[in-house]
Amino acid sequence: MEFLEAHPEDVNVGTAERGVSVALGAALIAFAAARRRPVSSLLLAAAGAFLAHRGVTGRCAVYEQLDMGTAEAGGEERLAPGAHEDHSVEVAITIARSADEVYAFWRRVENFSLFMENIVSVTESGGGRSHWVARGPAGETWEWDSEIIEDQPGELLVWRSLPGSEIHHHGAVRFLAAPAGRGTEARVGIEFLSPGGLAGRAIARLARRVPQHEIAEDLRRMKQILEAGETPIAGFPRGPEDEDGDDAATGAEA
Amino acid sequence: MRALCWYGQHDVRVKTVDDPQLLNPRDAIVRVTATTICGSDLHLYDGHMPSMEEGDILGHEFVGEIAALGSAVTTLKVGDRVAVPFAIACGGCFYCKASLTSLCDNSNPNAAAAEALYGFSGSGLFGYSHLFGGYAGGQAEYVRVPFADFGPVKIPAKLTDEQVLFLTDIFPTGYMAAENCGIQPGATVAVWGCGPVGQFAIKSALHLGAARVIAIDRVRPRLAMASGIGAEVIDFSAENVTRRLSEMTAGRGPDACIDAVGLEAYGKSFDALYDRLKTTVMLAMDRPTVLRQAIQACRKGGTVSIPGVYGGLLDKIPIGAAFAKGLTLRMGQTHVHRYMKPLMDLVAKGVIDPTFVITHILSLEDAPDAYELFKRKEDGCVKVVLKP
Repeated sequence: MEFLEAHPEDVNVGTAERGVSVALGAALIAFAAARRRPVSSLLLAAAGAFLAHRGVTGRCAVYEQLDMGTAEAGGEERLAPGAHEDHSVEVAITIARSADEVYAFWRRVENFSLFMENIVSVTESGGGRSHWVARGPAGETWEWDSEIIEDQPGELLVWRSLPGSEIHHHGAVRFLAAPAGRGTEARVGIEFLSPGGLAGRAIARLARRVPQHEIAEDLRRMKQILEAGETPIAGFPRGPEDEDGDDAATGAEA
Repeated sequence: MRALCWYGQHDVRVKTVDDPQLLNPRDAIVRVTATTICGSDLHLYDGHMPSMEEGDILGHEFVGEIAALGSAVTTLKVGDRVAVPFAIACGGCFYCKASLTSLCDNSNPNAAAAEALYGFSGSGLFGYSHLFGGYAGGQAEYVRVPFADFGPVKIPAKLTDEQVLFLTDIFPTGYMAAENCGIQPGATVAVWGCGPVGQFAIKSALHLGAARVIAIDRVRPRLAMASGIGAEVIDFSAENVTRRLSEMTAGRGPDACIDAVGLEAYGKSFDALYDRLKTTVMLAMDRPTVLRQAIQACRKGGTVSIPGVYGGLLDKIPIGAAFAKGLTLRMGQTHVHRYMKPLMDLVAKGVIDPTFVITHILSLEDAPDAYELFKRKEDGCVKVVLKP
C-alpha cells in the first residue's frame, strides 16, 4: 500500500504500532457493524477507520497535533514539544462555481457566520475592516478586528487581525480555476501568531486547538451553500429510545 | 405519525413518532401512499451496516403526495403525486451535473465520517444508516424530502402507485446493472440472485438486447419468476454454477456477470463457510461468495457488474483472475435520478410492467412481519408493498 503511505516526513507512527493499528481498526469497524446501541456504532466505526487509516498511512493526526510520534526516524525530535508557538492551517476545496462567484461570497464577510461553526457574527466596519465575534470551546467569547490588506477580485484575498485582537492571525485565500470546468479551487491558509509573553503563549495554545478538520468542515459548508443553496440537515424524526430493551420484535405498540 | 423504526438486529417496530418538519428551503414533506422493503434493508435488519441507531426510521423506496413545500421549491405544488429517488442529491455539484447523483457532494451531513471510512463520501440516502446521512426513511406516513426541486418526479395520473414505486430504486438499479454490462447483440448475461433487483436486471438485460440471460438462485418461486420473464435458470443448490455456465455457453463463459446479491451471500462451499465464520467473529463485514464466482465464471474481456451492496473489506477476491482475464468491474449505488424519467416512459408506454415482482401487499402496521417474510423468502415472497 505504498501509494497510501504518507510523505516520509509526515510518518509519525512506528512500524509495529502501525500493524496493531490496522488490525484493531478493522476489528472495530466489524464490531461497529453489529452494534445496536445509539451513541456507539458510528463512533466505533469512525474510530476503527481512524485507526486503520493511521496504520496504513503511518500518519497520525493526533500525534501531529500533539507534535509527538513513535516513528523511528526523527522520532526524538517529534517527541519534543513544538519549539515555536505559531500554528498554521492550510485547507483547499473545489467548488463547482466560477472564481468570481466564490470570491464575491467571501468578500461579503457577513457570510462567514453562515458557514463557520464558531463565528457568531461578522460586521463590516468600512474600508476593508470588519469586527468578528467567535465562540470559544468553553462557551466564552473571542473578539477581534480584521482588515483586508490585499484584494484582487476573483483571485486573492489577504487579511490580518488588527492590534488589540484576542485572536492574532493572518490569512489568505486564493481562487484558482480548477481544470476541465470543475469550478474553482479555494486554497486557504491561516497562521495564528503568538503575540509573545506568557498570556500571548496561552492564547496561542488555545488558537492551536482550531484544528485542520474544523476549518475543513467550515469550508465544506461554504461549498454546500454555494453549490446547493443550503447545508444538509438530517436526523429527525426518529423512534423513541429503547427503554426496556426487549419488548419483542413483533412491532406491537405497548 | 406511524413509522417503522430500527432497534437492532432482527428488531424493527412500528412506532408513533413526531411528524417530520420542513427544515430547509428546498425541502418537501411527502405523505407516503406506498412504500416497500428493499433487499438492501435486509442488510440493516441483519445488522450488517455500521452506524445504525435505535429508533432510526427505515425505508428508501416510496411514492406519495406533496403535503408541504419549503420556500425555495417552485417546481412542485401541494397535492402533486411524486416518486422520490432513494439517493438524496443537490443538483448543483459536479457529480449531480454529470448525472452521477448517488455521488452527490452536498447531501450527506455526516460526510466526514464516510470520508474516514471510504476516502470520500457518497450522497445521503433515505433511511440507510448515519454513515449515509442519518435521514429518516420512507416506511412511514410522512417523510421529509430534501432538495425536492431536483429529485422527485411527478407521476402521470394514469399510472398507479404500484407501477411507479420501483422506479425509486430497484428498477433503475437492475437497469443500471444491465447497462453497466455494455451488452452487445447476441450477448449472454448471467445474473446471480433472483430477488427484486435480479429480476429487474434480467428484464433490463433482455430489453437492452441480450440474447440469453441465465439466472442463478436456489429459491424455487424466484427461479420460476425469472424463468417466466425469459431467463434460463440454474439452481445453485443442485448444480455447480461455474461448470453449468461453461457448459451452457460451450466453454466461452458469460459475456457479463451481474452480482445482484452483495454482502450477505449464502453458500455451502468452503469459502462461504470461511466467510460466515469470519463475519460471525467480526473479523470481516462482508461475505463475497457470489463476487468470487462471478469473477471466476466471466469470459475473458467480459464485465462483472455489481449492483449488490458491499460495505467494508473483502477477503480473498480473485483479482488475479480478473486481471488475467482483462475483466471490467463496474459497481456502485444507482444514479437513480438519471433513469427515473426514461424508465417511467417505458412503463407508461406499456413496454415494461414493473408490478410483476409484487407478491404481497400489506399494511405499514404489518411491516415487522413483512421484514421476516421477505428475509425468510417464505410464501413465495419476492417483493412486499406496504400501504401506510
